[in-house]
Amino acid sequence: MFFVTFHHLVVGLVAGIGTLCAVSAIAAYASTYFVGGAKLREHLDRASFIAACACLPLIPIAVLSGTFATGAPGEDAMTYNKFLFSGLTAGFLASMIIGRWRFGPAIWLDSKLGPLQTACAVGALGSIFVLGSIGSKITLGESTLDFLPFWPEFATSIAVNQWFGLVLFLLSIGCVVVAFKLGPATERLS
Amino acid sequence: MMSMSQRLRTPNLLNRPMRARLLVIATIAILLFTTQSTVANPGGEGDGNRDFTCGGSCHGDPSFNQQSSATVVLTGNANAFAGTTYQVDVTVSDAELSGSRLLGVFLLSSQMGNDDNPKDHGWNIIQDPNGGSANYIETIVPSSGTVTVSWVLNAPEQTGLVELLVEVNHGANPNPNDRAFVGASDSILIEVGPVPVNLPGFALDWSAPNTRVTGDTSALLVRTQNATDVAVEWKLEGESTTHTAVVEAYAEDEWLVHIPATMGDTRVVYQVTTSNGEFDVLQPWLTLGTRAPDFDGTLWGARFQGAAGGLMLFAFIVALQGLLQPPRKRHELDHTAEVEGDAAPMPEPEPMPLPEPEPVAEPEPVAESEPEPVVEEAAAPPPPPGFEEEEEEPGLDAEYLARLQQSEEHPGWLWDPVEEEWIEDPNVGADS
Repeated sequence: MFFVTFHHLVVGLVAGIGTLCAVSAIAAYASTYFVGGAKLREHLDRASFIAACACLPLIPIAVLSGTFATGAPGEDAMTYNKFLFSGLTAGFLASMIIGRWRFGPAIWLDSKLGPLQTACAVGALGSIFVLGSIGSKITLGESTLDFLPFWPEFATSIAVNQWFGLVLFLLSIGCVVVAFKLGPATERLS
Repeated sequence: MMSMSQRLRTPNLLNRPMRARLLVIATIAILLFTTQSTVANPGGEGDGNRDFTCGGSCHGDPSFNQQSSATVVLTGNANAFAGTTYQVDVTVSDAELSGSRLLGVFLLSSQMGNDDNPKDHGWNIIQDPNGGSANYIETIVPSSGTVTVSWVLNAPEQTGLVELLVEVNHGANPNPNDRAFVGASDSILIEVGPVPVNLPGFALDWSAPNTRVTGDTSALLVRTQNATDVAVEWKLEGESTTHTAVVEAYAEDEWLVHIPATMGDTRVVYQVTTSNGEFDVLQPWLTLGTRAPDFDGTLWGARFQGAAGGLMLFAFIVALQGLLQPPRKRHELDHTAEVEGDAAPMPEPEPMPLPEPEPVAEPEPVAESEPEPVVEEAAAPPPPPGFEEEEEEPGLDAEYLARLQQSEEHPGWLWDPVEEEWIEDPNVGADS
């Protein structure tokens, strides 16, 4: 019972802060198209960065509490998809944080990095949207995505053998190391 | 009196930065407000065991519902034997439906609204119209406008007069007031009499399985009471040709029925005949659907796969950021200024004299004007193996020197019209 309540609390935080992060980021990029939007962009950029930093550590807590709050986590397609989309959300948020950290607040003004950062924000927002919809479908039987004329097939999932999943996990760690060590050096934009 | 400047400024209440801010705020507001309005179960709640009012509280609230135009007819025998199978058929027609044509049907045993599930009055639902064992089911009404569904139940063990009725709910199109449309059948009263001694039938607590995994060939377990023999006929739903299934006695009052495996959405209907030598009871037709294979995911598999997906996405975007970043500025790579700043001040560049052979060792007195080729060659390192010295064209220097032009304005310098540059006159240098 405690984990159910705790999971609701953490999920609310993740959804709220994550949405604030993504919406602020999208608005920060949109402000580059308006003359005199620099001051507003500065605030939106900070809000987005701080919200992403706050949301990222909450995701594993939400996953763990959800694991304890569910009877058989990962053993049905809906909860399995929650794990997958949690990973994607964390990936998008981490990408936003590292992009903002390496390139600075001027990242929104760059013609290529600004859209990339915004795409990450849209991805994070979409993933949070799907996560919330799956969760409400599990608990309430209805979700925000019922608004759509079709229901995405979250009742099915692509599950791999757990040992192959472990190999994929190790491979992904290698990909991260390669991306940082062998990738081009970056500099803060001014 | 308003000055000209004031009159010019007055219409421009929102300057450009203010307009930009308002646009950004409006964009954020639109994003925040584009959320779904609350709609009560527009796609139904799914099958389940529910009281009528708890099936959807809106349906029980008079301020949210409206009388349906549907005609609901419930048919069933007026008599039943206690603890034996009993079938009711429901026909719903002429309902104004929503675009999805979804219809919810409750099988109830009371008009009180609560505790009206037949299970609360001793009935046991062996199979509902969708293959489950629920008193509330949802079905799609065909375009003909009439739908018929059937429940198979075990009658209560207690004898007496019992009641069954059906209530339906649905939407409408259009439905301007968002009302739930509710309709009901007339109740039927069933006299449950004492079961004849030794009447064979299904076990009281047995529910028919509603689905099998696609391709599953395992036998179906049927539990009976007072039966010494069981025969099963089966057919594909919608077909008329029946087949006899192989039945194997598994234990006392337990029978294994072998029905061929099914694929896709195939549904099989089967009818069991329970016998004991004294009675032969033909039971109602039951339905067996087909479902997709069970999900084989695990917790650790989900954890690994989720983390791997997130990390790979992160690595991809990090690499993309490195590729898409603007070219690095030259000043950080070019340290010429620092080197020049640290170095001592260089003297004014002077015209470099033509190279003169420097004596390395005392020449032997062969000829004064000749250089010392022997010493030069001895000092030079040996050429690497395979090295071929390029032979200079003999007339090149002469040709080059011939094209140089002297200038009176710049004595000591020669003009090269081909390269368009000043060359120091070698004769002047040699003379000096």
